[in-house]
Amino acid sequence: METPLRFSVSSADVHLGLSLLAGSAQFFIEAKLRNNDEHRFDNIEQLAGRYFLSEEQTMQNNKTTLLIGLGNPILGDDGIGWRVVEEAEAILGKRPELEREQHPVDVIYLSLGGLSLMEHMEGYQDVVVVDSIIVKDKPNGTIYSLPLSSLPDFSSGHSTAIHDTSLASALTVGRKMQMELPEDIWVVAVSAEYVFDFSEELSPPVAAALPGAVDVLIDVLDKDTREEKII
Amino acid sequence: MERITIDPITRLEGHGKIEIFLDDDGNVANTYFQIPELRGFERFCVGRPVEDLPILTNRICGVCPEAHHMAGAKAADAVYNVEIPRTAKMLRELLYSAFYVTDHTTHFYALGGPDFVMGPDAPVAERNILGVIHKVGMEIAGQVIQARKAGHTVIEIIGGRKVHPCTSIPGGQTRGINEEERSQIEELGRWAIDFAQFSLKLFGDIVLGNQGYVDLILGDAFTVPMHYIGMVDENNKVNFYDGKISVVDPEGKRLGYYGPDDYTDWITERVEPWSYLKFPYLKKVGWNGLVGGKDSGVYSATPLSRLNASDGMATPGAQEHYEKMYETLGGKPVHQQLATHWARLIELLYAAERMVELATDPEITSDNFHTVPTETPSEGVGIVEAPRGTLTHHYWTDERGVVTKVNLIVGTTNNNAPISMSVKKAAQAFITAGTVVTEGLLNRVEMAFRSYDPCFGCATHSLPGQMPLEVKITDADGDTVEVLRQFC
Repeated sequence: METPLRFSVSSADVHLGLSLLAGSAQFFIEAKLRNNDEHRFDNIEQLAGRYFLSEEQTMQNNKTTLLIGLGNPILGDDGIGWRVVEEAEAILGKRPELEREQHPVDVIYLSLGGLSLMEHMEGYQDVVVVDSIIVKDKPNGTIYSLPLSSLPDFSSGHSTAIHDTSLASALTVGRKMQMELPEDIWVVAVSAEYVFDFSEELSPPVAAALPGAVDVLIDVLDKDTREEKII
Repeated sequence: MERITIDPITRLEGHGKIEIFLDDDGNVANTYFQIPELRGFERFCVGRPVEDLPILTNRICGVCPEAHHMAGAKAADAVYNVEIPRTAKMLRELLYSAFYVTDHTTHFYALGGPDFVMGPDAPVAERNILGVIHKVGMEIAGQVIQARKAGHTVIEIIGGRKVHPCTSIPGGQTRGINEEERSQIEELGRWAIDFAQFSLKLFGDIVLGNQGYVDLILGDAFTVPMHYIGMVDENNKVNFYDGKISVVDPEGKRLGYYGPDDYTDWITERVEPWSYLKFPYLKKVGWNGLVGGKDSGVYSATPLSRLNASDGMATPGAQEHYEKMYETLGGKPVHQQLATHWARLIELLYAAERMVELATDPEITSDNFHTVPTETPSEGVGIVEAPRGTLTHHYWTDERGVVTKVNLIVGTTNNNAPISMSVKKAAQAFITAGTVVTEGLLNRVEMAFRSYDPCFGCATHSLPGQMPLEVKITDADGDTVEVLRQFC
């Protein structure tokens, strides 16, 4: 006895009807909220930006690769993502064939996960994330180049996220809301272990992997030469 | 005895871990709750200029960088003994209120909500944010994302960056806001008030409208009496950014207040051999083990604690809901820890209302947003309410302002003992001799800690991006009865 949701956002009236199945009890709820002031829901999108970007911005993002250095730069080996992207940025600046006109790349550095990370990807069709990865079957400093869909998403079935969801779940949430999000995300990751101690230094095996990871990343920025590999 | 083990991908140290020990009869004898802690931050800070700390400390944690930025800035003000201008104070509080809107929204809809919207017995595959969206509809999910965006927009206007703000420095702010920005923030605040009212309505209908949930909230399993602390203004109303910390006992009697200068007279920490994390407790009451009651110095610092420790909310809508909550739950203080979800939504409304109050203050656009520090730096403490508990930063510097020592008591640490106690209580209620331990039962145990919105060492974003949580049950012979691992 599922009743379809009705939720109309008008200037002064939010009307909601939903049915919920809770435990074994099935019940229907009608929630009605009246605003005393008018027009609030009308202009939220102009005020904060829609969760759909403007057409112009979307077109711009569509043809641009978003490169994200991910991790915490002061948490030891978790800083590898930022370091690889910093080095790659320096090299990209010197390579005329990768000039922004022909191959625009937006670069950002983030210490985020889940929903917040997903929100940064809005409008981009091509996203490359560089991060550390914790694995148990390879030595520290192993370089991974692979699509996010090749990584296990352990939390998609669970609600135990401590304060957010996994990126894969967040992307599903965003897509469900018709946000423009990349089909898949390419990941360049370096396996690391020392990500619980505050330090700006990389451990020796991870530091040794830096040049190799930068090379992998430069290749990955050209979509045609992308291939899944572990080095 | 059968052992069930699922091998996790990360190392043991990375686990959040609940261990449940059974006695000879199969009843719960003891529980331990362990979380990984990031190490060495205090040492990392030594030798750096104190003005770097509000920026550095906001990288401690990916969950509430804004809280660390605020506590760090307040501590740095104190180190320089500088009183910041009223406008600077309001700008910080305005940013901070916007942050509360995003943070409390995320917790209710993505984390705590699934237990209530989907129900504690729902299969794990549905008991998550995707399940919630499926049930309540895409439009609400859109509003949730909009609420987050509204908060982030304000944080960016005042704080310079969307997530890791960088404009609070010793003496005030690096920039003010103009009329156009002010008006945008005011409108976003008004939108957030509607959203918060809507969320409270949803909570009322879904949770309070369901006798099963009301019984769960009021039931003994989640009721743990203890002391409560929370920041209050001069009228004893809840405040997140500035004020004194009010301390009340389990009967609701106010034991007193502490401020930055005397926090060490009130709070001290105990080390237990089985946990990395320290157990803060009220020095004046004393440590009596992991027990509740008047004679035990165990206290909590959560949204519910803040409401319990205050005399009310400083804004009208939130005050109305504050009164309704205590009326419904039988007066103050409320010891039913699951009511924290309700308290969190009342705080969401307060934060939104406070945004509008601050954004409409005539002085908010003033140019007087910084006082140049002139005194020789030495030592200072900054305290704010992080969404998940009172946050204290204490810095010592030499006469050049170079950090010589740092002490932090972070939000979740305050709640270490209460979380352990709540987990034990829930385990005792749901796991008894002869019970078949199901995922639904273990989820009820997890709900006990989820209500505290604990912040694990999540400044690390290593792929695959989750901290695993492990629930392990061991019988009286030391055999593992059940292990449940979830990646969180």
